[in-house]
Amino acid sequence: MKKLSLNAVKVIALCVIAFCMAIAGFLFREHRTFKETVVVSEGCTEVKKLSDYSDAIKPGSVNDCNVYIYDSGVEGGTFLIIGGSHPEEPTGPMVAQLLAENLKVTKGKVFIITRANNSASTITRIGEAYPRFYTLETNYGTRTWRMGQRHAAELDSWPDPEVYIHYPSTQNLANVDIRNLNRNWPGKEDGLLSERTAFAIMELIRNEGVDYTLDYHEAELEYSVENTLVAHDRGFDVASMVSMTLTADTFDVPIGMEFSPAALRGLSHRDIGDHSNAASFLVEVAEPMLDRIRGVTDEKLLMEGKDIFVIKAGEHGLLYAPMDENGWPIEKRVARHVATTTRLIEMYSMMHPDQEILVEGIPTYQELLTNLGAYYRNPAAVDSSRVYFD
Amino acid sequence: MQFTMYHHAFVVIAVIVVAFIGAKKFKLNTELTLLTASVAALLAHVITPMGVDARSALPFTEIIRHFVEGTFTYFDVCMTFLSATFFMTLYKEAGGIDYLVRVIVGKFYKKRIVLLLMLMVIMMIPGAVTGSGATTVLTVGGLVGAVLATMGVKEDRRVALVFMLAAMSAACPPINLWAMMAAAGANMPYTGFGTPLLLLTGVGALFSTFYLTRGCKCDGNVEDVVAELPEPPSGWNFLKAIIPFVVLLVAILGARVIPAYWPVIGMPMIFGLSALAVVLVSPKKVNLMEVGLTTVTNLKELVGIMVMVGILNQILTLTAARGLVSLGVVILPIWLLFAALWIILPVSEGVLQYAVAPLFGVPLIMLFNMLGYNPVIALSCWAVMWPVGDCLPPTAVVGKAAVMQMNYKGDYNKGFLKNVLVPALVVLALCTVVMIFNKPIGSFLGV
Amino acid sequence: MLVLINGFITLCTYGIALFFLISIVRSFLKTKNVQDAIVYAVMMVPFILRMLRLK
Repeated sequence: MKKLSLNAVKVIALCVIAFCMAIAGFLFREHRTFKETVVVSEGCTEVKKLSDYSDAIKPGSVNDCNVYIYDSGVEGGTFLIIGGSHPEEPTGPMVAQLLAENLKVTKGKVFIITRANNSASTITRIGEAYPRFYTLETNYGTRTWRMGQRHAAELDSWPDPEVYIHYPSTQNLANVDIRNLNRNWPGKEDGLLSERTAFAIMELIRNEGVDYTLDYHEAELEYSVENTLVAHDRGFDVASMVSMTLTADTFDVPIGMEFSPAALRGLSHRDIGDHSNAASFLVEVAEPMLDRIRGVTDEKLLMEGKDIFVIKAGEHGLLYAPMDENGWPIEKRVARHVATTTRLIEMYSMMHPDQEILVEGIPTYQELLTNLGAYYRNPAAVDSSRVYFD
Repeated sequence: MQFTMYHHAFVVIAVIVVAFIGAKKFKLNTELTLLTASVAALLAHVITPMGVDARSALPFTEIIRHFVEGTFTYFDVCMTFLSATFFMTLYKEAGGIDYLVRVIVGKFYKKRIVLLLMLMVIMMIPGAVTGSGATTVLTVGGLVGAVLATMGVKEDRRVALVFMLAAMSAACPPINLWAMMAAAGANMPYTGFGTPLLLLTGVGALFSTFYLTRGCKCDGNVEDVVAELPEPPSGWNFLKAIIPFVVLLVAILGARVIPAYWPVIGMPMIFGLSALAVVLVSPKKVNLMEVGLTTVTNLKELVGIMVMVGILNQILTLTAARGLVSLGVVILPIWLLFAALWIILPVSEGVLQYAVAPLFGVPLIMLFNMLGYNPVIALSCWAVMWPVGDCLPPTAVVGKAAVMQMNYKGDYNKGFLKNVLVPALVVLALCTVVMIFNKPIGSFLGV
Repeated sequence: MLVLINGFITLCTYGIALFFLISIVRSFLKTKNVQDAIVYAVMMVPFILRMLRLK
């Protein structure tokens, strides 16, 4: 009887775990293989792959992302937009995709990467209870994106070293950061996946003569580098103007300006600039879901940015951004990044007339605040040649 | 009164506590207690209303996904534990431990202080280069314990010393996972930590070593002592005995010396290579599958706990319980934090293992930064306090590893923990004082 | 070359995980303790899903 009971427990246990693994496995697979639609604007002249720029990325591999090119044909500046460095920060890919779907360039050239660390978008962060997807209601229906994590997926880069020694600075970083694209710059041609991805993007920057880059990020409100534009030495003057003018005429919450610290290696604002001729910028906006003190973790928190625990921390003076019952909704976060992009282009063109870029079609801050969904295009309403998948 | 997310999170935490107590009453082991608590927390989350703080729906399939996803939280850590233990079990089965113990005791038995310092350094190295106290215990804990036994150190104190040295080794630079994870989460460079960590762990290791071996005189006859030790199989020599550890060190240090040209081997494979070295040098044939079975059986509790804690961590995060606890810590007045972190940090380590580093460490770094304190010194102190909690329930990972490795038959609380108490309190007191005087100490050390 | 070596190491790491999965399954089958059996069953989950390359 005891033996039967033990065997019965074993069988039941196996059945239960098989059931759980089947469900979870299906959901993991569904998440990992989900394709996001990008409907490029008529201003898009070419779509390349990252592998076209470097053999470090194999064609068709997980980080062989799309590179959307908007070439006016008129000589001017060249600008690279990097979205999706940290897929747990939704504004990155959302802003990059919105620009890809609306942008028209009349002078100069713009490159857009929507999913720079695509691998990191195919998996949610273990231990953080993230939702698998996030959605936005548009004029034609629901647009869905994969929620990801900060680091490339363990399925694509395993094992991690016991300590990550950044190349080429040899700075010691946490071992998981070998999969963190924003700690891998300028990359390593024969490194692990994220290092090779950074290298390939650097090759794009060098070969295409990119004049300046902008990397989209979000940060927890407990973090000091918040709602700010971080600039490489080459871009201090432009960043100051962007920060001052946006704060004066557009944003209710000021956008700061920070100098890229030389001590912290691997970040885009430091090492892209140090290893190319480009001026590198990184912009941050508040995302309450990243705060460790957050409440229930779900899509609602991710998209509405409302959390009473974070508000409480604010009351105790523990936050670097204001937080109230209105939270930090995705509309505001996307709008801030888009407005920063537009102003950066304007100011950079003004201060570097030989690298002027002229753009059209980008919605304004107010337009995005009130009707974000209207600016994502219906894939069924356009020619299939304009529909791409990330 | 409106029902808010605060009430919801409180209910979840209360249910977890009740589940813990209930599970223990039903004599469930620690692993199943943790699993029960996770299930109970999730049920409480689903049943208890959010009140005015409405949230997204949570389908049943997503609930299953969260449970399964939680099992991965410490997967890499478990792989490291398993491969390290496999390596050392193989080495032990092959007779390498018996040989090395005879050599060390034979040469240094009469030089007590030299022997103790040597054992201390042997214990510090694995954790210093891997950041894992359990790895220290699982690789050299048995060897050091055996030598301590020949020195007449009582069993309770031996296990306590192995644990304390393992904890200090985990905190010892260059690799301190707590500091690295908290610094990474706060976007702080992991620089300047070497000196404060080395000082704190050095003092802690020295005190623990000499305090827990007090009264041992090593005044027996060396030949008689050596004769009592188990005979290793014939065919072992010093070179063969050392080669697996040389392979281990080369595999780890290679990345430090030539990082641009060294492949990323990872801890499981590093121990795999060391195990391969054992197979090649061992004069005795060992059945690898049987060693694998022994490894898993011995580590069932440790690995099982890590898997279940991973699930619990995921559920705590999903249900707002984790956020409430973290918030509760960081809004404490600073004087209370100074007075209570020496309890809070080790206890939290006992509950959530490495997950506490980003959970508490990041908000605390932000807080200390905001208050103008030296975050490097402060984080160094916390990063030495945390591993002291690795002997505390419910997880007690390193404590249990030490007990298992040393075949300790005494009482965990009245024997082992009682002997850990004094050196642990000394370390915690030292860290608290340094934390309070973080600014002048930081200036003095140039950090 | 380094990319190839790293790829080989990844394969070996999967091999190590498979070895431990087999050991966990053997322990599960051998154990006479009901609670241990449940623990071993749960322990298998991340190993199986990693082998199947699902997570």
